[in-house]
Amino acid sequence: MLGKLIKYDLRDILKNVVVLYVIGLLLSISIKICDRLFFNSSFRESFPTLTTVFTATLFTAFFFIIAAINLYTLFRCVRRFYRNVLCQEGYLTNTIPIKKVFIIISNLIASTIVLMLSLMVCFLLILFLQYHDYTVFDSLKNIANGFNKEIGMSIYNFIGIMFITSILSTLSSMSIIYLAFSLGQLSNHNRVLFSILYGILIYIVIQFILLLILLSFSSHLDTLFASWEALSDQVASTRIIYFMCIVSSIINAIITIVCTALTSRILERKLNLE
Amino acid sequence: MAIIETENLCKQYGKTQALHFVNLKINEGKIVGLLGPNGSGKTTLIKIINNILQPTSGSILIDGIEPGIKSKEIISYLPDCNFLNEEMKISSIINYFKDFFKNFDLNKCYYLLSQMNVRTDVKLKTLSKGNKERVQLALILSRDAKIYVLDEPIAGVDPINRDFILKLIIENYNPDSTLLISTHLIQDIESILDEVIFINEGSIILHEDAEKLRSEKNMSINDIFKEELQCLVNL
Repeated sequence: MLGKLIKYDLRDILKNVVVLYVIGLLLSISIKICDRLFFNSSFRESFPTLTTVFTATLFTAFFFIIAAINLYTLFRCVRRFYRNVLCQEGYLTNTIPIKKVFIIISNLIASTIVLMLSLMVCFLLILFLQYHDYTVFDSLKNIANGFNKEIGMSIYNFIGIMFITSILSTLSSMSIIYLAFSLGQLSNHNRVLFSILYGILIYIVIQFILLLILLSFSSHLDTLFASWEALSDQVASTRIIYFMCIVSSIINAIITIVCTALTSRILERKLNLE
Repeated sequence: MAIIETENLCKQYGKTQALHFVNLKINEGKIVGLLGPNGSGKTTLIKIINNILQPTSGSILIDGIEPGIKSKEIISYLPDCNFLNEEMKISSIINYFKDFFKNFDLNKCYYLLSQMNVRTDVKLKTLSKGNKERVQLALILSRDAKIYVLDEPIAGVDPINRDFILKLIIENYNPDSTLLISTHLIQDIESILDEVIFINEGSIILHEDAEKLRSEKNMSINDIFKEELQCLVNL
């Protein structure tokens, strides 16, 4: 059942986002073609203003598309949960014979997949735009070697751990948004406005709790970091990166679990469909 | 055996008492009309039956169990609003029902829609309001459910099509199951009812066999309802 839920959530979220991916790709291809055909040195010298304006317009449009892909993906994810669970479509979603927590988990997984996909598409589009010859890949190789030399860990390990951390961070952010909307729907008027206010409130509460935890562990952290000072820079850097990522992942996992449990509880006990 | 049973069921929204100590026993295999004016508590009761709302106090049993996943498997529910994703094609919506409801009959749904001349290869948003309601009804009636709960199924339908909708319901619901229809348009549905429940201001004012009521009072259900309401006003 969870797999089927994810399938429908993914389809709905991705529907118009894919159009933006295609627009982004077409735009970057256009920039490449224009670059090859018109912006060689003789054309540029003959029509300097035209080439400058045209280049600036294309690049502005490209960066707007990059921003739009990420913002619109986030909008679709939030909209899917709000409309499918808390508005009129909720009359169907909330009466299918499945636990409420699976509905939330499905939305979380689908949103995280599409948000990460959008980030990767944007990265690939930028990489495609930068690709002239193999220089960009040489630059990447140099960065990877330098990273290994300076930090003391493989770039692949770093990307892997950052990827896991990003997934958990996305999950926790989405679970906070879902909790905010679940609280917002308790109001009979201005539900979206109340949801935003609850979102801000939840964020402040979480930051406050984290600050308290950090303060209570500050002496332990000082001792830990002091013990690493004796180590070589490479080993210390690796440990710091692992430590930060693991702590961040644990915190995000806890936030996700708590927010999902609370959202599930609200949907079971206090659902207030329009 | 009672398929729906409530005991002292209450629901309060802030200071408003939507349901007030509702005690009901609805038996299997009956067509029951839940009749009352707008705002009388019909939809609140239906939402509680469907586990969308939680009662403030009291208890409710559906086929002997509390509302939950098991009860959702046996109830086919038509809400009083468009509950489908308008961006989806009708065929995708049908697949959605097939995926999530074990008792959904795909072939019956396609048959019903073809009888109603509704295309299934188009998005729901391209259909007229009337056809959207027909799609919803076809989906609900294509489930082999123990209980069908229809909330105001003819409220948005013009008088000419009301008979068609009622005929469709009667011909296509599982006759062994219970059909609970809520409406404020009593005279349009009274001919098909086995039992009537009058509800007003959150309280059940009458629950009786429809035929017995008609013969005892020698009046139509609609007139009896008006009379009952008038008595309450005079009190």
